[in-house]
Amino acid sequence: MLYFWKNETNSNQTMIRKIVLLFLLVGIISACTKDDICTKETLTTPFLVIKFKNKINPLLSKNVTNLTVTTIVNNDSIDIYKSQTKDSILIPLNTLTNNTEYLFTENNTSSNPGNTDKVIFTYQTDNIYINRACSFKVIFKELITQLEIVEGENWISEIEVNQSTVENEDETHVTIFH
Amino acid sequence: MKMKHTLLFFISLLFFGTYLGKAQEEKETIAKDSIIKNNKYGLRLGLDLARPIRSLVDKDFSGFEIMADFRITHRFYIAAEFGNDKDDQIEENLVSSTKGTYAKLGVDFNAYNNWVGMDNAIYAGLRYGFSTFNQDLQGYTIYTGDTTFPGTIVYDPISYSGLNAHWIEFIFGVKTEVFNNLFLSINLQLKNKFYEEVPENFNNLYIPGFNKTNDYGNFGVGFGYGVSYLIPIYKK
Repeated sequence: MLYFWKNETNSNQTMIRKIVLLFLLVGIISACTKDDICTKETLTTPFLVIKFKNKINPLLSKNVTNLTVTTIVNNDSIDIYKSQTKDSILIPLNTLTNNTEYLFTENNTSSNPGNTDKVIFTYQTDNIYINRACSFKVIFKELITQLEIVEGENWISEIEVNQSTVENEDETHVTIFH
Repeated sequence: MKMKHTLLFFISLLFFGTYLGKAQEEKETIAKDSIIKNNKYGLRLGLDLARPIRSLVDKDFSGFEIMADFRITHRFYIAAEFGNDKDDQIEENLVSSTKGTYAKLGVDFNAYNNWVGMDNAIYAGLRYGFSTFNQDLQGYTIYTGDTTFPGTIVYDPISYSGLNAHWIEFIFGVKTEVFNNLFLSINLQLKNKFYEEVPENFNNLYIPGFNKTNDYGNFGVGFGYGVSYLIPIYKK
């Protein structure tokens, strides 16, 4: 009888041990579930890729010396680039509106304000689902550009749209000749 | 001659011995059988406690599940669950809510060796699960990874109805008879979905019965605490 009772306790103990183990397993599995974080590798809303090329020989890229790129948001001017010498740039487009204005200034240094040209980028937007963590991105379609002409003052001679749909940052969307 | 006799003696002893042993075994099994008649067979009906408890604690969730199993052999049970879930997925960049019903059908295998008259279980089971549900995307922000422009918040609820999902589920659990015919159980579920109808330009963020989906694969997890009652039909 005593033997039987002893055995029952043992089987109860193993049962309890197994229950505890199961609880632990539930805990471990729920703790090990990956957090949903929008990683940097995920392709989200693309930037606009602009290349600068020589107006005399359109095949050659040409640096813009001390280039400053500025946009105006709620009456505040925000510099995307400040006095940098570049032959290609990446700039964001406003996802809330259908156009974004940019000021491109060459030869902009602390002692020289340089020459400023204004370009308006106009486009349509499409909201595309990415995943739980990143939610949605925007792709830009029907992109057109408009250079504000100031007679004899423009440093930009011509703007060409290479890709009217901006989906990723792998290709050049716009080429600026100067 | 003497040697031959000795050998014969031992060989016959060996045969007789095995026969004797066998006879003893048979006797034992017969004796066991007459006691094992105590095993209760019947329909066990239950309710998942985890979902109502979560419904009380978590304002983004409400749901219930009923479960049933029917013993078919000494170790095998036919098992099914049926439930209804409503869950809001509130993420950093989007809010969505899912509502729907699900059913799971399969078998349980009891690996636990019970003492005579006891009816506990440490079991493993396999299920086929499916769910039909609706999803409402309440709103979202556009992810740009850039702070130049103010963020775009889209508040434009979109309803996706008639969605469905199908999955295979492994279930591990313990059932204990706490009072006569009344059982408490806890289980852990690992799921792998193999087919789903996904809304266009969106995804199934939550599937009733499957629970939360993730960006990385087809896996889902779940657990349940059940209370169930056995309606005994016959003994064996």
